[in-house]
Amino acid sequence: MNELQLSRVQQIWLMSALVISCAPICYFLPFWVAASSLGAIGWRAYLLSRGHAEPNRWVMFLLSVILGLGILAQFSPPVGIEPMSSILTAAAGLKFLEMSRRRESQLLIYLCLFISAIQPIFAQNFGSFLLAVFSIVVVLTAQSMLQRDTDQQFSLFNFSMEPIRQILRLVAVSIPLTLVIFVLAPRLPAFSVIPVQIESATTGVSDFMDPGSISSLSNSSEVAFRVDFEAEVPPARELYWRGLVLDDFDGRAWEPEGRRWIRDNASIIWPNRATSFDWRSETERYGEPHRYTVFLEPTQETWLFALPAAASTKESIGAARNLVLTNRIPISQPTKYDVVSHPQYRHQPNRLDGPQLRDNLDFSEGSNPRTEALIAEWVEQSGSDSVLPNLLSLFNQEFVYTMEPPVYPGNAVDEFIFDGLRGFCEHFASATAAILRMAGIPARVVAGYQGGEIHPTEGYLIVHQYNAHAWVEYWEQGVGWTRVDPTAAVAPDRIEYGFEQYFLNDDVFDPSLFSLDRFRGMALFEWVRLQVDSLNYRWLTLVLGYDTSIQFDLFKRLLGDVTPIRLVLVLVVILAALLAIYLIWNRYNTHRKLSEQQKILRAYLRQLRGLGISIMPAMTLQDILDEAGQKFPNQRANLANLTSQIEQMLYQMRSIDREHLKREIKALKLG
Amino acid sequence: MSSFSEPIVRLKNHVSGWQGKRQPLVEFERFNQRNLYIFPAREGFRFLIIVFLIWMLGTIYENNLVLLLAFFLVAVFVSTIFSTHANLDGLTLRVGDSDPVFSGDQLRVPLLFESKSGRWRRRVFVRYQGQEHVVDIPPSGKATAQLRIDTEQRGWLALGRVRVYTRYPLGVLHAWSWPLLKSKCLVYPKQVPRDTTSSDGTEGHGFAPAGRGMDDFAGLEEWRPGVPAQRIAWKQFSAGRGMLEKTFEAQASNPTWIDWESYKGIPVEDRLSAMCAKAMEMERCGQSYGLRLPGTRLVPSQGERHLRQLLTALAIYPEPPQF
Repeated sequence: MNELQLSRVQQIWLMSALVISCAPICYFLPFWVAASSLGAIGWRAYLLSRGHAEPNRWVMFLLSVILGLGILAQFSPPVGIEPMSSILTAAAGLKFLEMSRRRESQLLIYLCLFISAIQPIFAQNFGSFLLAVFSIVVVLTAQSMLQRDTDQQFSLFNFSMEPIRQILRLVAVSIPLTLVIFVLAPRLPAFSVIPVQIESATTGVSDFMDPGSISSLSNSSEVAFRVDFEAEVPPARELYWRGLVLDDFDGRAWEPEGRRWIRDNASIIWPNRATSFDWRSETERYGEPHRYTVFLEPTQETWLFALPAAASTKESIGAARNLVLTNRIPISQPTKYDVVSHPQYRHQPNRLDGPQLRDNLDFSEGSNPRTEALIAEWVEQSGSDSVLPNLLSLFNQEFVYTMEPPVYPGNAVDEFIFDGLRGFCEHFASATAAILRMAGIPARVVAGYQGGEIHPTEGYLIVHQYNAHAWVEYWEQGVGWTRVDPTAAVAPDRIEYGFEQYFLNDDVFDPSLFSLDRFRGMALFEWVRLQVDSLNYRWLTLVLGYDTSIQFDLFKRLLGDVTPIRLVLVLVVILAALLAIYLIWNRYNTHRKLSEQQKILRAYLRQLRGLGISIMPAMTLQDILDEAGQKFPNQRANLANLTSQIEQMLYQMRSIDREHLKREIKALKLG
Repeated sequence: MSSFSEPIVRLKNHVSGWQGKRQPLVEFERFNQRNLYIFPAREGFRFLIIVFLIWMLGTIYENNLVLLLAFFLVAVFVSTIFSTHANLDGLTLRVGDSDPVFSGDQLRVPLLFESKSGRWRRRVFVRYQGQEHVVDIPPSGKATAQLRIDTEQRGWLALGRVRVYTRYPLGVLHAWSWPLLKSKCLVYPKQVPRDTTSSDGTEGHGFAPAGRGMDDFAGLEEWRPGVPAQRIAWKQFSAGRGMLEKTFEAQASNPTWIDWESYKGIPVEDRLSAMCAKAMEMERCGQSYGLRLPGTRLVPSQGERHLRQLLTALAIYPEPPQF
C-alpha cells in the first residue's frame, strides 16, 4: 500500500477524533455549524464506502465560501471564542472531507487537538474536563495511527487495543509532569480580558424582581456558589448573601436604581484606582470580621454575593455605594474571590442624599390604593414607627409562606395583602418595602441568597439556587440601613434551619423537583451527593482556583523565600526525581520481562564478569568458555559442564533442573 | 572561497571524527544512550506551536483548564522523547549473510534487527543511499531490512554508515543512529575474459585440452546441489530417473593453473577480472584448476567449494585468504 495514502483504519480513527473533539463544543455553537461538520463527515463516509475519491475542488471552494459567509452573518463582529470555534469546527469538517494523504491529515489532527483544548472555555466542571482529556487521548491515538502501517481492513474482529494502550501508557506517564508544570509554571496576567458570552440559560438571582421570580428558583438544586470560611461558619440566621440592591419600585416589580448615585461607575470604587467620589466614610465597620473565599458558578452577570459589609481586594472587583460587590466583566467561568465582611457595621447612619432619599421613598403612588389607605390609617393611629411591628405580626398571624403562591396579576401588593395572603419571600419583601415607603420610612429590597448547606465532612458551605432569597433594608436616622426579613416573621424556621428542612416538613414540597436531593434521607444517596460535591469543590479550589497568589503562598511555604534560584533548583530537583522514577521503572520493567532462562544466563555472565573475564556482546557461550578456561584451567571442566547445561536450557534440548543450575552458578568460584 | 569553506570542512571532519569515535566500525551494534540521538521532528515543532497557541488561549481567557491541557500536551511531548528513544533503545543490528556477487551486480544485504524486550518496536526506518526500508520488530523477535547495493568494487563490501531512525509513536520526535557496520558480504571481481599475456610455460598445458575433456564422458553420478546446469543429465531426468550428473574423464586429469604471472603487463584489477573469468570458465567446463597468486596458492581441484575459495582469494587480494 502507498505510504502516502490513508488506510481505512486511519480514516476511521481520524473520523472518531474529529467527532469526539467537536461534539462537546457544538452544543454551544450555532446549530448549522455542527450540522455542516456532521454533514461533511457523513459525506466522506459515504464516499469511502463507495470507494470514491474526495469531492471536486470547486465544490470544496464553494462550500468554504458558504460556510465563511454563514459565520460572518451569524457573528458580528466575528471575534471571540464562539466565532473562532465555529470557524475551526467548520474548517475541520471541510478538511476531513477533502483530505486523502497522510500529510494533510496531520493538519486535521492539530485542528482537532486545538478544538479539544478549547472545550474548557465553554464548561469548566470536572466532567467536561474529563471529556476534553478523553478527546485529546483519542486525537493522539489517531496521530499515532498515522505513524503506523495499517494495512489490515478494519473490522471489529481484528480491532486492536494495542495503539490505545500505548497512548494510555504515554498519558499515564505524562500526568505527574503535567501536575508539576501546572503548579510551577508562572501565570502571565491576561493581555486583555475577553468576556466569554455564551448564550445558555443560567439560573440565578436576576436584577428584575417581580412576584414569582424567586420562587421559580426554588425548584433548582444547582449550586450557586460555595464558601470556604477561615473560621467557623456563622449561624444560618446571619448568612444573608447580598447580591443586588433593588431600589426602583413601579408598583409591582423591583429593579436596581438606574440613576447616577448608584449605577454610575463614578460611585464604584475599584482597588488600586483613583476615585472621583469616595463614599467609604459613609460606612463604619467594627468588631471581628468574617474572612472567607467564595467560589461562584458562572452567572453571566456582574454582581457578586457576599455577607454585609463586604470588602474585597481583588483587582477586578469593585465596591458599589450600596455595599454590594461587582465584577468588572460578567462571570462567565467559575470565579473565586476573597472577602472580608464585618457583620457589625453602620451604613450611611447620618444622612441620605436628596436623590437617594427620594428614590427610597417612592412607592409609585396610586398603584396599590388599598394598601396605601391601610397604611395611612396605621400611621394615623400609632405613628410610623409602629408600622413595621404591626406588619410583621400581621404576617405571622395571618399569612402563609409557600413555594406555590397564587398568581398576582395586577396590583401585586394589594392583591397579596388583601386577597391572597400566601406568598414566597419576594412577595413578603416586596410588600414590606413598599409599605415602609408608604409610611415614610426609606426602604429597599435586597436580592441574594440566604443560608446554605454545610458539607458535613469538608466543612465548607454550599449555597444552592433554592437558597435564593429577598429581604428588606430600611433606613433610620442615626442607625443607617437595617435589615429586616419578613419571611422570618412568617416562617422563622426557614431562616433558622434552612430552606430544605423547612419544606421537607411541608406538604407543598414536591421532592421530585430536586434532582439528587429527592433522595435526601436515603443515607447512600446523600453520601454520594456530598462526595460528588466535595469532588467539585476540590476541583474548584485546587485546579480552577489555582492562581498566582496561591502559587506564591505555596512556594513561600515550601521554600521559605521565593527567589529565582530556589525556583530553578526546585524545578531541577523535581525533573531529576521524575527522570529517576522513569529510569527505575523502565529498568524494573525490562528486568521483569526477561524470561527465567535469560535471568539464569545473566546471572552466569555476571558471575564470570565478576571474576575478571571480559565478555563482549558478540561472543558465544563457547567463546566465553574458551576465554574463561584459559584464565582458570583447573575449572575448565566445571565451566564446560555449566555451559552445556545453559545451552541445553536455552535451546531446550532437554529439560534442566533450573534451581540446581542457579545454585551451581551461585557457587561458582574460580582460582 | 577556500577561506570560507575551510572552517566548514574542518567542522565536518571534526564531527565525523567525533562520530567515528562514538560509533566505530563494529560487527554488531546495540543501540543505547551512547549512540542514539533525538531531536524534535518537523511535526514536533508544529505540535509545539499548537501547544503554544493553546497556552495563549488559556492565558487570554484566564482559564486554568486550558492551561492544564496545554501543560498536559507539553508533558506528553516530553514523555514521547522517552518512548521514541525506547523504540530503538536496546535493539541490536547486524549485517546478515549474503551470497557473493560479481562486481557490477546488485548485492542484497540483509540488515538484521533483533529485539529482546517484550514490546513491539514499530516503524523502524533504515535509510541507505536513497533507499528507505521500514520494519516492525515483534517482541523478542527479529526483522530484516533488505538493502540493494549496486557493487562497484571487489572485496569485502564497505557498507558505510546506515541511518536508522524512528518517529514512533507520535511522529513528533525523531530518534536516530548512524551505525557503521562490518559486512560479511563479498564482491568477486568482475568477469572479463582475456587471453594470457605471456606464454612462458608456467600455465603448463594451457587450456586447449579442456574442450576435449568435455567429450570424455565417464558416467553418471547422483546430483549434488551446485552442479552447473550443463552437467545435469537432462535426458535421464526427463526419463524419470531423477537428477543425475554427467561426469567426465577430463576432470581428474589435466589440471590447469590460473596464474598471476601469466597476465603480466596489465593493471591489477584487469588481471584479477581475467583470472576470475577464467576460473568460472574452467568450472563450467568441469576441469580441475589451481590458483597462483602472490602469497596464495590453491592446489588444483574443482567444484563449488573450490571455486568459492578461489574467487574469494581473488576478491580480497592482496590480503591472503583464510580457510
